[in-house]
Amino acid sequence: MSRKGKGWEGRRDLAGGRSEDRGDSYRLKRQGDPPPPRRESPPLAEEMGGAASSAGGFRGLVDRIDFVRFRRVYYLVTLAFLVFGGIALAWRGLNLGVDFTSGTRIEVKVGKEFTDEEVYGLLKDVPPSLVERVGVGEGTSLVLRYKRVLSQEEVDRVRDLLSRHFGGDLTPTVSTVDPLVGRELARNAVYSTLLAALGIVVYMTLRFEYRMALAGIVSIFSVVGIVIGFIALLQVEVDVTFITAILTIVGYAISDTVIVFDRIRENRRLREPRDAEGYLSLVNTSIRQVFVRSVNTVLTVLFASLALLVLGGPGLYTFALTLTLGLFFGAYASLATASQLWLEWTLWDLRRGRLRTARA
Amino acid sequence: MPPFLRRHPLATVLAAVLLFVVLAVGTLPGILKGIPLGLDLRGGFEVLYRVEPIGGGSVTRELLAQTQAVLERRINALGVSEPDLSVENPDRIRVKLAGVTDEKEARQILAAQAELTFREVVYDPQTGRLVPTDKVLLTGADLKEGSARPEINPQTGEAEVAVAFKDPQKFEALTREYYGLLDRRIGIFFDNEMLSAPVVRAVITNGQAVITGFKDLREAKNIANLLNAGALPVKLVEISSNVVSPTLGQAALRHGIEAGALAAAFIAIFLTVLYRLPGLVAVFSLSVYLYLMFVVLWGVPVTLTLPGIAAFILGMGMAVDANILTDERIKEELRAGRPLRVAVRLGSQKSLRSILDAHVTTILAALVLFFLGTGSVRGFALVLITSNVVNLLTNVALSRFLLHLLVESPLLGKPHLFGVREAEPHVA
Repeated sequence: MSRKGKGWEGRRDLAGGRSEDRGDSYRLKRQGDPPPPRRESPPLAEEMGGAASSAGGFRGLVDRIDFVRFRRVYYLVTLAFLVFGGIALAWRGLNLGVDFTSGTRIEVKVGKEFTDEEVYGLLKDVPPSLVERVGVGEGTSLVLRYKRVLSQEEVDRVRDLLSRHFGGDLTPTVSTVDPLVGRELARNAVYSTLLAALGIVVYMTLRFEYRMALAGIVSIFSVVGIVIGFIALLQVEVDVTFITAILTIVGYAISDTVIVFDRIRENRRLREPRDAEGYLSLVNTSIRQVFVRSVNTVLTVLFASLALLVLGGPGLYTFALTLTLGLFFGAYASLATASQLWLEWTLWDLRRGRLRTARA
Repeated sequence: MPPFLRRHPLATVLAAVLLFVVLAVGTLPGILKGIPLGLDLRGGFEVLYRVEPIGGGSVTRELLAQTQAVLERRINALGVSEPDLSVENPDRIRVKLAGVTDEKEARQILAAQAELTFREVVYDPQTGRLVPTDKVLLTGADLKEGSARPEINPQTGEAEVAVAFKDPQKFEALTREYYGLLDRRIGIFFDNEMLSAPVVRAVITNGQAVITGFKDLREAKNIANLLNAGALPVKLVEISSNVVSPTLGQAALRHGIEAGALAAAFIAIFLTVLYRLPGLVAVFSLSVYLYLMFVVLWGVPVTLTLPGIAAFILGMGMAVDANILTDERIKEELRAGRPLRVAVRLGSQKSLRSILDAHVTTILAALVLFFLGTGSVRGFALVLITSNVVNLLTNVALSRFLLHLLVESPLLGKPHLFGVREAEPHVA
């Protein structure tokens, strides 16, 4: 922050009175509460910069939303999704592709419709465990899954039979995986993600504070949990690209969360809240200020991932679907989980007199 | 800012845009063609081997490196361009051969042990056949390095491989022992396959011998190559393989490009409508970001795979976000009634810290992934780090520079061009 910036903020205090109505809107809605203590910290022009309440349109609407009021509801929603996802996972499990289990997967573009019976009949000698199809019409691909690892001769046999039946020299995509490798791959990804999370906690503790770091990590993992639950429910075949998609989601969630916390930190430095009301309104203001940016960014990126989902073809389907779900829930979590959990924790510490000063 | 730029901001920006468009249109096709595509995008063959030392013992780093070197020489013999071999701990070697579709041949040459042995062969009167005993007389390790060479025997017209032994005396002793025997011979075995079991017709003293029994010169050439490439001191156990058909790989790439183009068009419209002038600046910086990313991928070169594209998309999202963050801040400052120039300066300053924090955190996470991850996770992390750095150059530095220039222009320095209606409240 430069000196110039500070200078401008100082001057705007002339019109400080306007920000009071926004700060008060929270209190007015809770009629049973005792009258709020006078705000000790000077009202900030910053608040008005973000949101003069007379602004119309979307901005004005956002300025009237009381984001912190419903935080218990957000936790419940998040928990509900997590429980729901957990049930889906326990009940159906992830539909793991050969990348993670073992066996052989053969995919070939046949370009026409076929029936399962036709394929099973054709491959009597090398019966597949499962016959699937991807795409429609000209783009129809046949996917054969074997629970065991096929030998080279068997793969050649399948290829021959398919080529003769469907016509043309079909070059299949054949993946064969030993069970050990898949499990290791997944384990390695999980470990490195956990370590990356640890790195983020350390960095955020240094740059922000440990409460933000941990609240952020909890929020990011809740997103990952919810998305995995959905993928289990939808029974989409999960391959290596799924790991990439999860990593991408984590990346978005991190940057989203950092930006919200950054705003909270900035506002806190300016207004130095001393009591619960101060913190509530701090988080509310900060969320209001970043809300439009969040919506716009997510809309933009979500569109890209939707385009990938619709146009990306079968190879990118799992990836695009996971990404789309993750973006959606990630945006939700950065506003509804991360900052709210931080608020909860800060309020708790405040009540127990653990917060040293307003500058914690 | 040099005075010339300050005096003609609009002209400067337009010239920069024009220059970039010319540069991009001129060089992009070549650059795009030059980016190596991973085999998930262009088809090919990938195999992961576990290395098992023959006769027990542990897998050392040296052994892995040696095996890798041997595999490399074999791949060169196959004539594959851009092979990608990597050692994965603790005992794995991953081989990627993009563009190779005849996985059968590739597999045979890669995993062949190229183990040449000379074993005792005895005549079995019951079956009337020659059968090998367990007695190994000589191995490929006894061969002089690089001595194997394919030949056509001028007398018989048959393909042969001439070899030379390191220790002529040892070979001499053997030929002396088996000289003239019809029912006990020195059989020549390649990977447990008996190539021939010649009768020893002479005591060979100079260590020069000929292996016969090949179908044609091509086979003799292959075997000679393998012998020269060295016998693998290990057994390669295939634990996973992936053959991507070129049609499916290219389809994935084409779909990806179509989706990307549509998304880019939407992002450009969205940003321009929402943020007007800063939106246009953002679109330009994003184009430069894309171009620079392609240049980096082409120059390094990083093989582009699906996970790489994922990281690309993530980087793109963060790039868009960096612009949106700045533009939102500028709007805020304008709404607070600040003059445009001040609003642009304050908006850029205030958004910078958020952007830096988000980028540094992401880079940090990506670094961890890069050092701990394997295979696709590593590729993802690498592209992500690159895109974050390029991002800071284009969507932070360049965007700001252009915006600062543009507000100097009397034509463009108007709040409504920044998406703020002048009717909105001014606090002053």
